[in-house]
Formats: sequence, C-alpha cells, structure tokens
Amino acid sequence: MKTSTLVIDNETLTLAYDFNAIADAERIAGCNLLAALENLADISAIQLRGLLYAAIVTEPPDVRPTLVDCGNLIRLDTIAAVTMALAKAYELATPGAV
Amino acid sequence: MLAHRITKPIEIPAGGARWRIAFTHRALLDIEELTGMGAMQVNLANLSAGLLRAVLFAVLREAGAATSITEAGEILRPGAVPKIRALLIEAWTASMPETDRDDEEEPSTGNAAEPLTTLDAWAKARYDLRLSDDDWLSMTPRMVYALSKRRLESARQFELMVGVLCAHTVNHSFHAPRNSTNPRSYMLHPWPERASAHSTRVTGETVMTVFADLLPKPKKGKSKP
Repeated sequence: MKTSTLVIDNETLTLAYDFNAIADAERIAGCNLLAALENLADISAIQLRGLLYAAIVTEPPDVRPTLVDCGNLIRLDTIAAVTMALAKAYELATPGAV
Repeated sequence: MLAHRITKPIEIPAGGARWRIAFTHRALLDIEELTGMGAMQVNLANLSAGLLRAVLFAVLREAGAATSITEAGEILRPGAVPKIRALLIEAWTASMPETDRDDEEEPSTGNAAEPLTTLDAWAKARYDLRLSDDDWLSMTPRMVYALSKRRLESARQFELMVGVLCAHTVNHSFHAPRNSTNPRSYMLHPWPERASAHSTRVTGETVMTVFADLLPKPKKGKSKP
C-alpha cells in the first residue's frame, strides 16, 4: 500500500487510498464519499472529514481516530494540506503511479 | 450459467480471471440484502462507494468468482472505478428488458406504471410463467420479459382464434350488425396497431405498380416482326 504523509501540529499521519475503508466510512460519515473522491476540488466539509477518516492508516487499526478527531484536524490553516495529502494518496494508488 | 451465456458478454477481471457478469434476480436480491435498498432503486450512475462495492461483489459472486466483499473493494482502485462502473452499467442495460415498440405504442393514460417490486416480479414469474424459484433466481429480468412476451403472443394467437369464431357468428347471425365486426374487437390483448399499416404513403411509383398489374400483359412468342 503506497502512502502519503500529512503533518499537523507536529503529528505525522499516514494516509492511503483504501476503497474498503471508504465504503465502510460512508456509513459513519453519512455521505457519498465516492462522489467526493471523484471531484476533490468541490467537496463538502462532511465529505472531506469522511475521506480523511477513511484514509488514515493506523497500526494497529483499532486506534483509528474518530470522525470528530478527524474533523478537529481540519482547520482553516490545515485544509489545503489535508486535501493535498489526500489527493497524493489517491494518485499513488492509481495503477501506473510512481 | 445460461443467463451469462445469452446476455451480452461483459467481463470484469477479478482474482486473476475474467468473469462474465449479468444481473440475475439472485444478484439483485443479494444487492438488496447488502444495501437495504430495492434493487430497482439503485442508480448505477451515481453510486456511493458502499453501493458500488456491494454491486460488484454481488455480480462477481453470481458469476462464480470466490471473491469476498473486501476483495471486491480491493479491485476498485482509483483508476479502475470509472471503468468498472461503466462495465456494470453496460451489464445492467444488457440484463434489463428493452423498451418494447409495443409498449411505446400503448396509449398513454397519463399514469406512469410503477416499477415492479421484487415480490411482484417473483409472483409474476411463479404464477404467470410457472417458473421455479431456482429458474427465476438464475434468470435476468430481460430473460423473464422475453418469456412473458412469448406468453402474451401465445395468448393473442388463442384470442384471435376465438375472435374469428365470435366475429363469424355475429356477422352471420340474425340481426347481424350493419358493419361487420372484426375478430380483433373480441381479443382481450389485441396486437398494437402499427401506424405504418394504416398510413402507407402513396407515391407515383405505387400508383404505377398498381396500374401495371391491371394492364393486360403482352403474350410471349406472338409478336409480329
């Protein structure tokens, strides 16, 4: 699994594209994350929070931050970095990506 | 399975093999079970990630692939999603009944027919077509529709025979109607009237052909030098 990193408040998060995590996160986030995934330039706050929640790779997986924790990570000063890190994670998962 | 053989071949790669997919009733029921939505309410063009994974899993399982729902999700890499969705839409179209010309010519009552629920579709298949549960589950809606069209055609043939008898009896009875009745008027399911049958355009060529048939034909071998 190819990953990208996101640094917020000196904390490094590992992000990766995982369709299963996205599908499972939709139920928790309560929105269509696939639609968001296909148009990262125009997504709602709920979708961005859901995508971040689905993309965070944790070891072991049961210490995954909650949806609210993910929401707290997205602030005006971090929103661009979060979006870029998500886009990078999805780009790396695309077949043929370096 | 027969459904996969007589439906337009659409293949999806999974687990190192290519699987020919079709939306049989079994796959549709699996989708309903996994998503909690009526299969006919699923909009393939605007699927969520959870729905797309469930639909892919259901059709792959029906095709015979030993794919788990997690493995189905793993197939859906970023670059593969649009392609797989397009294949699913194509398979859906191939599995659903085509809009029939007969249906198009039905007089519109202004009330659009409600789509069949799964329960109604099963009841029709069991009662009208005498299909077993297994037969129905392994057939696509298009296959069932083809059978119901055959059944309707058969009913029309029978009704026509009865209609001919009725019309003959009525038209030659005491106090027969001034205008003869038509066998068609005694049919419960008459064939839709084709517009072309009643409004054939008359062109100069048509008139010439008709007149040519009326003229005496020249006799062969008796022409003078």
